[in-house]
Amino acid sequence: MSLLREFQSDFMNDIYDGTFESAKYLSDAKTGNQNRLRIYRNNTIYILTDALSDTFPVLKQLVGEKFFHMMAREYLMEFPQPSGNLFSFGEHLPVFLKTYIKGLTVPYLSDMAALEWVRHISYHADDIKFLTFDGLTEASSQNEDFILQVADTAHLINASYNVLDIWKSHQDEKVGEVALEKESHSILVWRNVSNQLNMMMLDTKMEQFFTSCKNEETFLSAMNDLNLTEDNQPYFQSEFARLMTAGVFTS
Amino acid sequence: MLKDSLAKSGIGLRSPHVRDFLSPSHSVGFLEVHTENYLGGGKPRADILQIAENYPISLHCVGASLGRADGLDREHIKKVRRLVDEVNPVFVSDHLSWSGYQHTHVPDLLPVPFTDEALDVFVDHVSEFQDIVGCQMLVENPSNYVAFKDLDYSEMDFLNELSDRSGCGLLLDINNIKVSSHNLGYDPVEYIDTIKNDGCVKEMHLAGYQVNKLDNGEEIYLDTHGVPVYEAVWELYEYALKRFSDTPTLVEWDTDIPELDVLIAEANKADDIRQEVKQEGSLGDVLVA
Repeated sequence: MSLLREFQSDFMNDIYDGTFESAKYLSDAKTGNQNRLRIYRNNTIYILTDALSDTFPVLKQLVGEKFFHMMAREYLMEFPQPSGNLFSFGEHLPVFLKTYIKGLTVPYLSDMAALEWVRHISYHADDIKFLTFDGLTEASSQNEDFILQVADTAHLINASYNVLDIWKSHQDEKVGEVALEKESHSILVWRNVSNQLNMMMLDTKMEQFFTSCKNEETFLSAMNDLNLTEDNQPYFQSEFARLMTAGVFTS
Repeated sequence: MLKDSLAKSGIGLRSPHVRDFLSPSHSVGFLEVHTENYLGGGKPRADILQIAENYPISLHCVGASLGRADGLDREHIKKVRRLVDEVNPVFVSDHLSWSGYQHTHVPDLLPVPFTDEALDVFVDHVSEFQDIVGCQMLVENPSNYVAFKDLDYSEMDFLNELSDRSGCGLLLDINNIKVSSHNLGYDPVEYIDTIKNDGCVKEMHLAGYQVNKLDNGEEIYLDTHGVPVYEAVWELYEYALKRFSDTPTLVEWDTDIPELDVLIAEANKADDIRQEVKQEGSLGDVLVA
């Protein structure tokens, strides 16, 4: 291993575990080398905690600032920033929370983190070309293996609690009494053609259809699997049209 | 002669002031953004493209990690290229630092031991960056808090060599010179005098720092960009302008971001100093003649 690689490996370990082994590379002419190395560690903890605060604002409100900072510190030690893009940091927080908060009496924190994470990645996803109705008609008529592609700006989460209403209640939106019973909810988050984030609950049929599309089943197969009846077909069609218009699918 | 827009100093554009620049209503030379905030799509991308229609943009990267020993993240730099193609920036820059190794990264500018091995890495990576992005990049001197042993170069000689071998320009951060010289105990004037004066210094940065005490009582300067530019930094800036002649200048302010008027006043102060130095230079030429 080259000296530079060895140094960078040691230095990175120092930042995340705080052992300051890399003091051995530093000049003895300066005192307080460990304190000086701590500046880099403190910067990292501060900036990554700040990034989590920006990405998970409602979660932070729910647990309070002090708990959030303690949790963020432990999270970033276990799941360091994975790339040079700070926006990629925080992906594993929903899973982390499942074990971190064991025993606490707020069961929907992991779901809230999942909702806020998909809001974050939908907001920052690359721009896409939205699929139009004409494009859909043309593509599906020309190719029976046509796959309706879900845009990277759209994500579905399956939550055990109604975190959509909990989230709204933290935005000064009037949502009435929020039910906290454990019940399955499919929440679609997407960035629309005007670059605004939208969220909606999907019913069973829409959730099934969306998941089939996400799994890259053909459009025909995804539609056939729904076994639509005369009763539910109009509703499905109107919801599908709504998502098409909103920019959930890409060409 | 500088391009007209660069004859006036610029400011760092951060999120609280983005809306202010969606229309062409402010008199600043140019705006600098952190490139990584605009590599995705959506509203941030739409905003920066709209702003670029009215103001010259400088793309200042913080995540290329030019000094990492295990190779550049080319996908990251290709994204920078796409943004460069859309924004047509006046400058593209990053730092003399590293921030990632293998699969772990930090949101900070980590210090570089100025060795032959590190120089080879920088020369290769800066060259590769320039090839991918398709233009000259500027490399900025960062703030340092630690001094290494067994070095082959001083920071200034390292930068001079890097510029010679890779063809990059230099972004001289005057505040960082002040901060590092205090922290590591060298003369900031000597630093400026040692940077070669062959046109490679293409831009200067100004900012504020914070004075902290370490646990052992030692006073250390932190590069926080959260207060006005210190008088000592203005003086050093004036000295640097006299050495390198008029240079595009940008005021950075990243924490506790003030009202826009405060930022623009700092940029105007830089303009005043640039003007004074230019006039003194002209007078000097007349006297010599």
